[in-house]
Amino acid sequence: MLKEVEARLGEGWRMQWGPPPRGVYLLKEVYMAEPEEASAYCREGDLVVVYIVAALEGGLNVVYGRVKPGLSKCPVATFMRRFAKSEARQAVKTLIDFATGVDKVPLFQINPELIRFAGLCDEYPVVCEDPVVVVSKLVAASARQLRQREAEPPPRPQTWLLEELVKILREKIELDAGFVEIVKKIVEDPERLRGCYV
Amino acid sequence: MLKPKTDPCIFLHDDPEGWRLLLGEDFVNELIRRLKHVAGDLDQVVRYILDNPGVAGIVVRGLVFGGPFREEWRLFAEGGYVDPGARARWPYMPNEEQLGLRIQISPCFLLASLSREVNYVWRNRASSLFKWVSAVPRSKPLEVFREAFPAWLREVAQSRGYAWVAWTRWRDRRNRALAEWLYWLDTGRMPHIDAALGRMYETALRTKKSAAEVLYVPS
Repeated sequence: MLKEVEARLGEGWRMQWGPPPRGVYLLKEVYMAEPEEASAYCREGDLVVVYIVAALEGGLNVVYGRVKPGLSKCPVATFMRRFAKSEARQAVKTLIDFATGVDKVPLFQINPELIRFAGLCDEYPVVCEDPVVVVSKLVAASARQLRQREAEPPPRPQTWLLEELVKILREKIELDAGFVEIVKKIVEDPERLRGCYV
Repeated sequence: MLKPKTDPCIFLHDDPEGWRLLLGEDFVNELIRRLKHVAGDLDQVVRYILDNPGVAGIVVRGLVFGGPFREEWRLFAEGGYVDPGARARWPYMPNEEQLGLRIQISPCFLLASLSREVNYVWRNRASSLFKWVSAVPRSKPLEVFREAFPAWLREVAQSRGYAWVAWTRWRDRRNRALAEWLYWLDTGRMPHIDAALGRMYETALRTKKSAAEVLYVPS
C-alpha cells in the first residue's frame, strides 16, 4: 500500500516511519478520526496510518491525514516533501488533489482557510465562497445556458424523452400495481399534481 | 525572533503604515514572503488578510515571538486563539442607557479559526449579530458587516460618539466591544491600535465629553 501511495504522489516525496511534524491540518479537525478509534482497526490487520506533509520553507507544514496525530497502536508512515515559499499554491493543490482524487474525501471536509491561504479560491469556489454567492453564480450560469438553448433551434423533437418516460413508468407499474391508480388520477386531472408541489 | 509592538488584531487594521510601524520591517517582510503567491506588496497583503481573516492564523504558524505582546502572539500562532474581549479604552461618560443588543465580542475574534467551540462563543456572546447575518462571514467581513449592521446603530455612533456607545449597558456589562465594532465599520481600523499610534482624534471630537486626553491605558 505504501508503494501505491508513493506512486500516486510522484517524484520528490520521501517516506519515513513516525508521526508527522506539527503543522496546519488540511482537513477540518472535526472530520479527522481520534487515534483511539484508529487503534481499534489496526489491532489485527496490517493497516498503516499515512500522513502526507508538504513542508513549506520557513516552518509551515501542511499535514494531510485522516487520523489526528497522537498515540495509537498503528504503525505510522509520513511522506514529506519540501516546497519553496513561492510554491505554496502548488503544494496545497497537490495535497487536495491527493485527498479528493485518491482518498475520495469530499471537498467540504477540507479546511477552507487553507484554501484561502493558498489563493485557490478561484479553483474551489464551493469551499471558499458564501453559499449565497455560489448559488447566485449557478443560477446565472444556468440562465445563460437556457438563453443559449433558446437561441439555438431545438435539435430534435422531444419524442425520445416521452418514450423514456413511458418506459420508466411501465417499469414502475410492473413493480407496484398500486402505481396504476396514481397514474390514472394524474391523467384524469393533471392540475391536481401541481397541488402536491405548492 | 519577532517583537511586534501590538497584538494580532492588527490583521484587521487597514493601514499598511501602521503595520510597518508596529510590526517592524522583519515581520512585514516575512508576511510578504509567505503570501507571495497571492500578494505582491504590503498593501496587497493587508487587503488579502482583511478580506480573508482566517488566513492570518496560518500565515504566522511557526514564527517565534518576543516583546510585550508575546503571549497573545504565541497563542495565536500555535493554536489560532484570539481573546474575544474588547481592547480599546474609552473616556468615561456616565451612561445608564440600554441598547438591547448583546455584542460582547470584539471584531478581533474574526481572526480565530472557526471551530465548533469558537462558533459557540460567537453565538452565545454576540447573539445580536446573528439577527443580521446568518453565519460568521469568512471572506470580506468588513463589507458584509457594513451592510448588515442596522443604520440606526451606525447613526448613534456617528452622532453621540463611540465612547458614548462604549459606556451604554447590556445588563450589567458595558458595550465596549460594540463600540469597537462601530469604529471598525466606519474606519476599517481597530480603535486600540489607532490609540496606540496616537490617531484617535476623530473619536475625541465626536464624543460629547471634551476632556478626553487619556484614551488608551496599556494594561
